[in-house]
Amino acid sequence: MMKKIIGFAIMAALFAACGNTAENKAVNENDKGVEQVTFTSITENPDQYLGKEITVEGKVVHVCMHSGKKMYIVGEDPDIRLFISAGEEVPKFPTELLGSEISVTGVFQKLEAGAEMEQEHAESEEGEACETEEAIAKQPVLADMMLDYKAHTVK
Amino acid sequence: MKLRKLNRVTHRDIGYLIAGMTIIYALSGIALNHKHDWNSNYIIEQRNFTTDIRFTRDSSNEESVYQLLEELGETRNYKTSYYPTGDKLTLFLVGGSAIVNTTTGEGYVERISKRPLFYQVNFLHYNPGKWWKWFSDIFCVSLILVTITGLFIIKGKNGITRRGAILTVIGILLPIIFLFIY
Repeated sequence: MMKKIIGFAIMAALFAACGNTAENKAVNENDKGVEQVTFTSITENPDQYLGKEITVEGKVVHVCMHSGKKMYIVGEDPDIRLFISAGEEVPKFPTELLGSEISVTGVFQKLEAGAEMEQEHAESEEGEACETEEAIAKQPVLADMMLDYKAHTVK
Repeated sequence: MKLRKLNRVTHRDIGYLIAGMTIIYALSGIALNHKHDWNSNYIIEQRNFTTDIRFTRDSSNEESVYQLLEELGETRNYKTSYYPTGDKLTLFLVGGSAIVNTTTGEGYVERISKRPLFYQVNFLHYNPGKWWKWFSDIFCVSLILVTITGLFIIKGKNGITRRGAILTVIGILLPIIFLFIY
């Protein structure tokens, strides 16, 4: 009986280890021919990419310390941030990503579509996120846009 | 199998199965209750500093950044910097960051490490993925089942018809009272 329990525990551990492979997934997604977009082109023509699955490169400047389900990236202009929202398909963003240049794939959409989730995150983060969110609200572009995360790779 | 025996067996076996999950949710529940008081996910250590180095927004700023890193003894940990509009310059480091107010020269180095146990239970509590969602739904239904079957385990004066009834009603009334208070 004990052997069976131990066997089950090992299987569970293996299953858990296999579930956390966001980076491997990113390579496959990019192989599928997702459109590569520069940060600048998103800021200049956001409407062009609405509803599309895109890959964009940027520097991670904020990761949610509580839920870990949201992060912000910037391109060349440090004042234009893009909100990356992790859905329930992916685990949390690790804080190790802070300051990293990443290539992130997701569906570019209006924030309204994920407003409920965003609100939930904002409440959970309290003061820590307020500064970033206040800054986002003042942005001339991308303030009301988000990328619904699918995968990423660290450059 | 008699109904009472079925009830007892169901309570016992499902109880064993969900013991681990109950502890996971209970621990992370406590942590989330106190999220305003402490960060249960990360241990954050801060040390303050003051610098006379002046920072700019042009390419020469990188020299100033390295000067500061040298002062702080963090050169080897440096990843990149972030300097948006305002007076807050962030230097991202391996395992943390250094934040400096470029007007006053005051700043702090922040070291972040995962808080053992709580990081992991919170990770699960925050629904890390689709499969976990269904798994935890099953857990919640099981918890209801264990609670209901638990009501009918004991017979007699300590059972659900007497002492058990009083305690159960108190347990239901308490959250209702809080609802009225808030």
